[in-house]
Amino acid sequence: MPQVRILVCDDDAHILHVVATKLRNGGFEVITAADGEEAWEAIVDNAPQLIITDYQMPGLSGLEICAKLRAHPELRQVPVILLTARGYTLDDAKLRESKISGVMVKPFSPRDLLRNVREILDGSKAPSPQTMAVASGPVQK
Amino acid sequence: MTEPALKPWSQTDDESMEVDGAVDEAATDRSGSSASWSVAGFFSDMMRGPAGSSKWSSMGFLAVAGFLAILGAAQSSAADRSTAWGCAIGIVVSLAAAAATTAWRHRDDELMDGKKPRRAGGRLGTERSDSASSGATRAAWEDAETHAVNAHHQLAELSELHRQLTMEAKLAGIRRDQTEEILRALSEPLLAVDAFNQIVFANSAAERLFDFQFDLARRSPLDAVIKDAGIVQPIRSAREADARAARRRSEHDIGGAVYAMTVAPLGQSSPGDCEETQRHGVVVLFRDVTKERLAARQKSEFVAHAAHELRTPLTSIRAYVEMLLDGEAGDAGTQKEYFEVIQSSAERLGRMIDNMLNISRIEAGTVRIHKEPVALSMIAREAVDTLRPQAQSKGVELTSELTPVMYRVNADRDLMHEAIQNLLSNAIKYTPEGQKVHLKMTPLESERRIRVEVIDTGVGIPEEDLPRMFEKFFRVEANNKMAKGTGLGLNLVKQIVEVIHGGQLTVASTVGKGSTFAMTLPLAPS
Repeated sequence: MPQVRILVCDDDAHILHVVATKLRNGGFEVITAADGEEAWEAIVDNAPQLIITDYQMPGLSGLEICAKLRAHPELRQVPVILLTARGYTLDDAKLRESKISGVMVKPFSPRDLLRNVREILDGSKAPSPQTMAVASGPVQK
Repeated sequence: MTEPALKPWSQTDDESMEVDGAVDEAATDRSGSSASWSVAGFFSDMMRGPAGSSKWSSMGFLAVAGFLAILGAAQSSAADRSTAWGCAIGIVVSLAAAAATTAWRHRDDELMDGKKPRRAGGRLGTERSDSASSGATRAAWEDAETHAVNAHHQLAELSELHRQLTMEAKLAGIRRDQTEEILRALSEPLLAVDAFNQIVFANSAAERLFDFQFDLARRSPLDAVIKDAGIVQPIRSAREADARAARRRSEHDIGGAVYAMTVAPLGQSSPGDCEETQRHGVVVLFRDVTKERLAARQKSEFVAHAAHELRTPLTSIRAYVEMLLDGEAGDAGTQKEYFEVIQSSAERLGRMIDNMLNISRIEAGTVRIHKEPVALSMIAREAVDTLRPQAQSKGVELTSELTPVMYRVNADRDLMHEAIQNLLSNAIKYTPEGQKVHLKMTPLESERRIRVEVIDTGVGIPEEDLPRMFEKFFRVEANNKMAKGTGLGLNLVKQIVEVIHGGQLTVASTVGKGSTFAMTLPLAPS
């Protein structure tokens, strides 16, 4: 059975490494990118089934990558998980607009991330961004 | 004899009527003028007056006159004309003297009488009708005099009162003018609005703020001058609220600045106030809080930014700890790697917090500074020694060129060390392997200054980023991959060099060639 391909993008090398390791250990094929431009190229070349990207990056931001995806005829349905230290400032309207499937607020647990990835890909549960954020992020509100 | 007829001692009815007539005139003259000194009045008074001691001299002169008259009459038949003339002259003189004496005595009496309480005014007429006796007439005459004197005193009192009131009004006017001057000169715009929404006072600052002239706008409705409904509305509701209500505060954008507006009721109602509807006047004061708002916003942004930056190393720590706990590290080599990541992240976190605290304290002016004359070259040498391991592990060549020890600056040892260390650390971070970092000290004797430069042959900084190099949290995007920074180091160095030590910090750079950070400091007086 072909491995599910996930693209992970973050400008922090440590975070990129730990997420990639966790997902690979979980049985996924992982492609990494260190910035937005690199990520977009990799997406177009490799057509991943899921994208995990940092929000704030130099160059293309996570949300901008999302916008490009939604505008792309073949890639518009690809689910995206956003990693951000400012998760709680993203209002739902923005997320819905970009069709973000989930938000992981830093510092997050790699364990939780893996679980959410599986849930989204299974399609059995479509966790709302709120649930995801609350599950793994620091105390909000 | 041509003088006024000398009345015989006995009095006739005609005479008394005449005298009464004279007193009538005095009575009907309501102004109470004491000037009706008819000669008849003199003589009637003398003749019928009580034998007061004051009248004795007058009587005496009259007696002489009478004697001379008799003598003259007796002598007139004689051939000696001169004696007759002598008597005549004597009579005239005596009469005149009598008259004069009486007049003077009368005046004193009048004045003394005048101090008596005023009689019910204008009743002399009724007294007149009582009888034609000498007592009634005299009483009436005394009344007139008293009345006149009273009036004279009242007039004097009124004049004095008027003078005092005029002076008080003047003083009050001066005080009011002074108060207005003070209010006018206030740097904060001030307006007073009465119960009917009219502007009754505005100082110069208010005129400038709302671009109008009070002299032209006096008593104009407030909305004629202030177009912003957001400002007019709170003022209106304050006017209509309870007069004892607390002052209201709100903030408004006016002409590009932010003003805090305070509206306070003018508690006591003034003549213009409308008691039925309980509206009253208000005083409105504006204060420019633009700088405060800006400072508050900058602080808030700093904290938000700082929190964001702190999360990044924290994320690494948490993630790698979890991996280790879950046994996902695999072999010992990987484990060691993970531990190192955790450790360096924790260190970075610590440095960030230190930087933030230092910067915050410097900006707040609460940092503890202990300045003393120090040999700058000693501090520089220490900093170079501290960074040598870091340079070596990266394969970067670190050299220095120091001045003789005699060049001293007034500096806080720890802060200066921090500053030079930061510059060296940056240089090493952004210089690739095999390249160089050089610290150079140069005395500028003529300027009484000393320059310290950290020169690297590293990646350089794009020109458009140069102006922002010393901003908090600013990092050059282009060099983002090269090294991790707090984004605070250069800001801290700038604060230390410029704010605390009165020096200057500059940067010059060429992309691909390298950068030079230079600080100049004043030399300590030798």
